[in-house]
Amino acid sequence: MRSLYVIVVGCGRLGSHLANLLSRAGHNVVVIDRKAAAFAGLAADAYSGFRVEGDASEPAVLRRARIEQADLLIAATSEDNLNLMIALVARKVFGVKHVMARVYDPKREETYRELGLETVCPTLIAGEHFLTLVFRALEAGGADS
Amino acid sequence: MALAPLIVIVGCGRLGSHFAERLDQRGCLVRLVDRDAAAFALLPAHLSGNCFEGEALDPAVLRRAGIERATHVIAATPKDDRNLAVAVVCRKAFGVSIAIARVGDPQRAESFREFGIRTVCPTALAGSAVLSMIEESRPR
Repeated sequence: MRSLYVIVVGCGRLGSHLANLLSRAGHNVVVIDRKAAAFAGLAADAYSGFRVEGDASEPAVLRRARIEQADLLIAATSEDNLNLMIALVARKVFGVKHVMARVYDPKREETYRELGLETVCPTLIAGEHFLTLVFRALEAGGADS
Repeated sequence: MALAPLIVIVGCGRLGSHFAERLDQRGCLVRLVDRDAAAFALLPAHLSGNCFEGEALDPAVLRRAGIERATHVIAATPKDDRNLAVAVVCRKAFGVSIAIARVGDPQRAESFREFGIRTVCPTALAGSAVLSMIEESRPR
């Protein structure tokens, strides 16, 4: 298995966490953020990729990140609409094969899928996890700690 | 179980409301607390009677929401420090046996656990989900 060329847009909590994970796993990662200060979230001992400061809704910025070579783009900014737009541009304009968008609002997930985008909704995943914790505790008698 | 478990959820944002709906569908009795009554608009109408507007760190508000009978408390506000405070108060002052808090910063989860609070970190979970999606769809 070869390593992938991954662009992560948005270097907030989720973006930086993903960039650190992917870089540590041996992938080639480029992170784009409007503010250079956001790159502080990249861990010195984990992240060995590149940083691009700029607005990823501008194609020129995506080109600077060499989007033509990307195997995967993850739109992980804190705005659903911006993520959708960036993801669509990556998919339709640049033909990036795998595009994932972070979705805050669970109700939007289906729309994204119809557009051929993969989605990550932390709310849904966290909801699942909460349910698992609650029901595990209930099955164990409700007072296991 | 003879009685449906009573679960108090503090914070009725996207996560709190989504979770309340899921628990309700599974037959749990849920009560929601939020400082802002407008937050309850995210809930389905039939849960409107289970909503309590007020400051969750105020014991009177928690009592109104039924904390003394609660088996679980879920702290799901957007603020890590509030979630920790709410969870600790419910556990120590009201003896709620299971306290689960949302923690935004993966690095804080450990200190929550030292207080006996279980944690759910959407960031860490989404990170793992993305990694497994990549593994599944990996180009050769």
